[in-house]
Amino acid sequence: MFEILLNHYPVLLKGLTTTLVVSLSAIALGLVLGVLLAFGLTSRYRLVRWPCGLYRSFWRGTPILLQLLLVFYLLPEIGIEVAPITAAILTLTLNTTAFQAEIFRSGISHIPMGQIEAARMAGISAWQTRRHIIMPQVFRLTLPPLTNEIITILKNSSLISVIAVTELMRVSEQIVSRTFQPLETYLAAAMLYLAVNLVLARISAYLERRMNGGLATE
Amino acid sequence: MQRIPTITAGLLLGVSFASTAHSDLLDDIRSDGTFTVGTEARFAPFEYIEDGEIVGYSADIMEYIMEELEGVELIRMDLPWQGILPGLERERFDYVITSVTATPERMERYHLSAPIADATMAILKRAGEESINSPEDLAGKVAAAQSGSAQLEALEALAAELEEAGTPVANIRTYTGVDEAYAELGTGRVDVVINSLPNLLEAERTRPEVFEVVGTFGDPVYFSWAGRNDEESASLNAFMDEQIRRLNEDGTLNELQEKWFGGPMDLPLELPAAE
Amino acid sequence: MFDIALLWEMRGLILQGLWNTLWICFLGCLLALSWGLVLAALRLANPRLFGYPVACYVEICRGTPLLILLFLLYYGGPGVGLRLDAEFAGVFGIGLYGACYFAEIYRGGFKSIPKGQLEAARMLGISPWHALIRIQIPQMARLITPPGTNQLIILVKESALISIISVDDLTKNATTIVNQTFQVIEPYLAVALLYWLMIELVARGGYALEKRLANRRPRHISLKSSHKNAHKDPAHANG
Repeated sequence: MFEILLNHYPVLLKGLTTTLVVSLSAIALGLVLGVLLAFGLTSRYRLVRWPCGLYRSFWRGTPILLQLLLVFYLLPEIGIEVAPITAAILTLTLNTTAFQAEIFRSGISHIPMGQIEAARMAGISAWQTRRHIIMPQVFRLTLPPLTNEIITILKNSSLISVIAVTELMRVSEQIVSRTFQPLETYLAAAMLYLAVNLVLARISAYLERRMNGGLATE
Repeated sequence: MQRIPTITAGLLLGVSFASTAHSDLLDDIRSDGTFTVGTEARFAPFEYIEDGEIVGYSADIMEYIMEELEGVELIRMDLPWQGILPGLERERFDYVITSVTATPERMERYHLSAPIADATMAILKRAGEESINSPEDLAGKVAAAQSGSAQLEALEALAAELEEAGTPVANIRTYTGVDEAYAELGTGRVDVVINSLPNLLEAERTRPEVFEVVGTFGDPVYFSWAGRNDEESASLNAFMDEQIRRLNEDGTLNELQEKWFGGPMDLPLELPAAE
Repeated sequence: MFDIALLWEMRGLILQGLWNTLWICFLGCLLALSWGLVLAALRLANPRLFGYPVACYVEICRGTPLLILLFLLYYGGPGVGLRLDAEFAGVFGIGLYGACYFAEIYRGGFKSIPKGQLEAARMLGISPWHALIRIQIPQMARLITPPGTNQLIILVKESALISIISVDDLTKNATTIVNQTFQVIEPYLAVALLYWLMIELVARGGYALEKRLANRRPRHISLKSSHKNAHKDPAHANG
């Protein structure tokens, strides 16, 4: 396993970089869109809530492998030409937006109504309430499930090779087809994923402690 | 990182309405300076990855052809075989530079290029396996082929024949990539792999202690590349055909065949017409 | 234009894929649920011996993509003498992978039951096994059903990965249909809808289970007020 790492570290590194670029882009975009979708899900207007709910149901209720394939083949049908890596980021973003929206929505529901009512009475607008009162608390509360989602995105990126993006998983397959050592190679790849995820988990734990975050357990 | 310009370009390009934008694909390729092709870089020795680069028989051919396309960069998208023809059809790339077995259905639906190699079907077994010496010996054995491939079709046809003769195969297993099928042969999960002769010879060459080629069966078939069967692609298809024929006639293809397959192949200048 | 006739023609492949997906998911989830319970129970019973190994197992499974696990089981297996059929590599992959998440879910459930109850049970001579079945699980059930259902849904979706190790499941057969018919959108969309349907059913089932458990629970055993009721006879929890 270690000789695989030593002999092939340039390509493994390139693959890992692609994995990270795609994942982090999807995470960042998903964060922004997830918050917006969460607001849509908790909106007063049914005309807003309903499509948001449908979106969430589809993107959380179908396998990401199929989502990747659908987006990859559907885009040209409707006239949009993007590079595979963009299609990968797009799909992962659409997917994670649904999950993050659900996480945020759950967080929002934990904010006591009293605060929102008080803000309303004090004349603070709905948007300002969201920006300054709701979201800061929600981010603190949802840090643990958010971390899980980030780790999930990283793991989901192992599938984007089916739409022609050469990331860590694909690089491993290529190495196996030359060295005929599947056990060692895939163990090496597993270790790389594990390393990245452990680092993320530690960072999150640190942030959690600093922000005193997490949903209050009894 | 090279990725960032690609991502930015992709995002900035945004919506480009595909159907009316291309008046002539070859012209667009020359003016854009990029030739985007689809390939399955897991088909040694035609196209495979070594040290992060796509190498092989087709890569070498493309080097010659790209000399005729000055100032154009070749961009290769590497994806599983099952996505290659669907991807071409959906205009994910301009052309397919990967070994496509010429079958009547494909010839109708796509424009298959002049042949680039012999693709006659053959059988691979474990070295030293005494019981398999001809196609008939597949009876009672487990056979493997690549999912979605013409090789699988050939295997299924052979299996149907054997079944009619009263000696059916035990099972047919399909795999996303041929490397996986070879691995399964090595571990004993399957008894034979059906693929085209050049690939099997390559497998035998790289691991002679594990694999052995049994022999060929069926009618001669050829590998081609592929383009879309529409007006915009007509000039590109003609260009590629011309180039392949040129390299065939001047002996370059034979040279490359010696290099990659160990011997020259006798290739017609055009695919035999579909029955 | 969505070609329904195409799907009808290919229904054989679709149904075969559906069947394979269903039984592999079923066995895989069963394995995940039981093995996860074993892990959680072991950790609870003897934290010093099992705490660290189980925690490691959980961290490793959580940090690695299921795809690698499947590849290791199926392609790497022969290297250590393990020859699994693709379908069973799928079952074990899903089972072993899911178990780590369920172990955590159960752990949360166990934690929510006040220690006082278990101590009292022990003093009354109730065996640990009995305590698990009659005292802990009934109380945990309501708490762990939502995350548990969620995890089952995740596993059903992840099962699409077994197509990559050549199992003829819904996803792989969809690709086969794509290759045979040259149509891409109909097969993938149809299969996506089938998964969606399966998952909706699991979600509804979980929701229904939640409701049933909520109605069954005797009023005086509330998770938050357990401290107040610790003086009540824990044997009543068997109700």
